[in-house]
Amino acid sequence: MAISLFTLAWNYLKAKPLNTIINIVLLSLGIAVITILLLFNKQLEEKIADNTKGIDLVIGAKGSPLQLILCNIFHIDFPTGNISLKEAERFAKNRLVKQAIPLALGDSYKSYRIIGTNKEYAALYNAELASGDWWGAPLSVNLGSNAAALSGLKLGDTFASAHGLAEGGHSHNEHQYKVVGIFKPTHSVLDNLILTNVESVWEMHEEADESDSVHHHEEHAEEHHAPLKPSPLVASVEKGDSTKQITSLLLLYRSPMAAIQMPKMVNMQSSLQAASPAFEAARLFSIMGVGVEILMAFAYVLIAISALSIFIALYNSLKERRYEMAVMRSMGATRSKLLTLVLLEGSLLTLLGSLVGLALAHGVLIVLTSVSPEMQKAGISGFVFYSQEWIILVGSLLLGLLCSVIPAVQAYRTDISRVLAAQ
Amino acid sequence: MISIRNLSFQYNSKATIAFPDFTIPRGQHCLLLGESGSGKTTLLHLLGGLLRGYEGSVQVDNTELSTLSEKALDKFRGQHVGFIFQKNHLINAFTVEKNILLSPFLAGLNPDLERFNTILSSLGLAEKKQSPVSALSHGQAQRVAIARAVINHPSIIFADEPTSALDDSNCNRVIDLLLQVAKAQDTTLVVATHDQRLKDKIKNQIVLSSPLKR
Repeated sequence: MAISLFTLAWNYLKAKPLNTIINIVLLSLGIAVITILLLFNKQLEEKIADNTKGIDLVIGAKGSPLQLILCNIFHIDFPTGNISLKEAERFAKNRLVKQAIPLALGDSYKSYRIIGTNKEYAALYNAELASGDWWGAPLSVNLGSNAAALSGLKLGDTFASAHGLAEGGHSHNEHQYKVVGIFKPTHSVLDNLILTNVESVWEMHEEADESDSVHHHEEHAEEHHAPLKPSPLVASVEKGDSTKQITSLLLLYRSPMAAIQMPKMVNMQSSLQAASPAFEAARLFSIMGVGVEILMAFAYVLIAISALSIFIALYNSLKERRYEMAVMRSMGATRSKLLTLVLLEGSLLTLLGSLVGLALAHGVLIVLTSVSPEMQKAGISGFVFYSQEWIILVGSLLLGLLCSVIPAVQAYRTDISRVLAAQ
Repeated sequence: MISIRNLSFQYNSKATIAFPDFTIPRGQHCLLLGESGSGKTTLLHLLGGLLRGYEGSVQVDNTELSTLSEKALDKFRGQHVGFIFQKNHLINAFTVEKNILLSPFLAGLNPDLERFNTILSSLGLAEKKQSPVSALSHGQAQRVAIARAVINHPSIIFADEPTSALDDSNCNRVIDLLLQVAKAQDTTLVVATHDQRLKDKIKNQIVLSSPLKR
């Protein structure tokens, strides 16, 4: 192998394997923590932005606005309660509102939520069918790609939903849902949902509540055919029906003015509350931010310790190598060659450390996503790379230069004659 | 060829050392004799371009060393001069091969692999090429140091006390080896020593008296 400053620096690192390994391990741990936080935060932010895209306001029962958003946008928290369809209709017709989508929650299958809604909801996430057809008939459902893959349900299968949104609820055995379509992956929350129409969700619950089910069913079926003036939200129901309830209403504004007026109007006038997904998501992030900052601080401490350790290692080995440096000078090495050699040694060390750290971070995420269905549900992947990782690489190179600059200047300043005469 | 005239060197504000004028013709080996503290090492460093800032004249291979910049002096050392020190100071992190080839690399010369192999086998180191230097015996390490000093085909080899730490038989072996290599490589050998045993080996001698202070 031809000799170069690079091979010399590499040989010096190899000659002290334990020193080199501990320094690489220390630095790579710090880098890995930072990178994991970066990957996690970025992907979460992107997912949140994707999932809230096109939804300006959520109207639901009074309670925590954050809960309202978590439940109706991200489908992770529980509903704040129900709202009457009649009240929801009032806002749906408002001139400031471009689009209003009803959501009826309540049941789940193997922890995948069954959402009673209309096709506009699927259109928010650009859902396309991978197989089958769109839901239409009562109790027909479409599955999100994750829900289909992980629940094991296939086209044409029937299943009984469980009451409640968590696994292990009382199951509605009286009636079974039927899978009529499966969506392509949308990389949004839709992948984890089971969609049907609002009537199916009502029917499931009314059936369970009523003892005289046959009678009710007939009545119900009639309702499907004869609305004189259909509700703007659920067409099969008469407008102004005071008995029907939904969980929430998703609104899309017609003009930016609405952002000022609508929430006020909702919160003042009624027993309802309005929450903005963008605002609540930002609030959620600032709450999580504390934890992230603590982890970040921990990572920076790790990196500072590793920088100190690299500095000490270089400084000590330079002390041992004073004589070697002088001998190198006697062989014709220029001052700047030795300076470069030491700088190269330091930056090679930190570059290796950060490369190992980056690989570690992606590896950890890849392993985590493969063992944890929750991570898959959240849509986190270890195979995503961000441009910020270049910044980490360049930053660690600079760190290496910083750690080695004092030892390098010492090498530069070596008084050859004095060192050689001191034998 | 080496020639010095009116040479003196100031260690610090108080101590100055002066050296007698002399000339060493090309190809003629020479001993620099003197007791400890007589300035042998200082003179050797001045002649080899390891020390700058002297008064007077030092000419090596027809170059006045004080006219060279620091960088030019580095280059001059790499191409014209080889050093052998009392301790061998091989670089432990490298193999035998790398230790020797370091010399042309640091001097900015292309490694002459044919010459490298010839020197290696003439010094009996051919099988040790890839060994770490920590695995070498003392004698082998000394031969690696000699190979390193001659690989760049220097016109002069400066040796600083190469034998003082050795017993008689090893002393003889090393000085014989140095003379033999110097002859084979057509190189002038200048040895600074207080080792009286070398007097018989190299006839041309310059004796440094106690330093002349002023």
